[in-house]
Amino acid sequence: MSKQREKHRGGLIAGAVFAALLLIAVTASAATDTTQPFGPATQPNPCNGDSVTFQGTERFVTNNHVDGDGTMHINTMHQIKGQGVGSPSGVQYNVGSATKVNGKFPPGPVIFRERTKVISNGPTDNFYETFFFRINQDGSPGNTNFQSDCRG
Amino acid sequence: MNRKYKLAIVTLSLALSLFAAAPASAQVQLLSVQQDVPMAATLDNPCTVAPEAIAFTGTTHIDQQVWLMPGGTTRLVVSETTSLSGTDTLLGAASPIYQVSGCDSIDVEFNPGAATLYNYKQVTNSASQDNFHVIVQLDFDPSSLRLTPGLQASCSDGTPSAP
Repeated sequence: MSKQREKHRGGLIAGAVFAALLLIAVTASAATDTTQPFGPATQPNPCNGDSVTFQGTERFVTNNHVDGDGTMHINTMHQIKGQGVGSPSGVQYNVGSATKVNGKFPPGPVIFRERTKVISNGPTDNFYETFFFRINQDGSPGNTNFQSDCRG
Repeated sequence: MNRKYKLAIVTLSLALSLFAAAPASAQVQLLSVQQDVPMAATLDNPCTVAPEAIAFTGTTHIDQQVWLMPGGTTRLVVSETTSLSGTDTLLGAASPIYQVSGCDSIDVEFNPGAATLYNYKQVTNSASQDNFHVIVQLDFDPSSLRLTPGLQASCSDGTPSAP
């Protein structure tokens, strides 16, 4: 290989490495569409003392990106759907929720709260579940936590 | 011991015990406010090739709470309702009537600093239908804790597209 061709090749590689580094420094994108199972997760029905073990699916569609200075641009749709059987009632409960968020936030993780009604398919009381879904500081979806309450 | 010092020590101990008794997980409400903001903006429909100058007027109602969370993060709880109508000033009396009506709510926790929320709302008109949306942009000022609304045009509903 001639010295000139080698020099040209070296220049191309250096250019590609520089472009990649620049891209990492300016923005880190995380476009995803992920559906994953959740549960079994046991939550109390605080309205009647039932203990409900939920299972279902959770879907994240994200088109988030992070600027070089860490600023978070979040464009995410979060859906959760599940059902469970209460103990000792034996009654089935259904829960479903969907949230779309679009915003710009300071560097760091961002947590969204999503409160929805859990429907009892029997004589037992409905209750409420708050989902805490998290976007990590790199723009990727994080863990989702739950908390139940009985406030109407 | 001097009686004054005894009193000071008792007061300090009482204050410290009260402080210690407060739950470590308590969040502190910094602001709870409702406001009606008159809105006005002239927008082009970005879904059409032809230029428009649609003069929207209306109101944005904001119900807002700001909390300081135990870890020092900011929790912003917002419920926003916007109602707008307008006509294309380039068409005059021949213009269809454009209307926007909708509400959005969000409960979000983030590190202290400025933030912006984008709420997409479908624009309907009496002549045709496309994907024309108005974005109600809410800018959060970390020093005043207030939200300032603004309007933008979009040809998308803001739903993230899958890769």
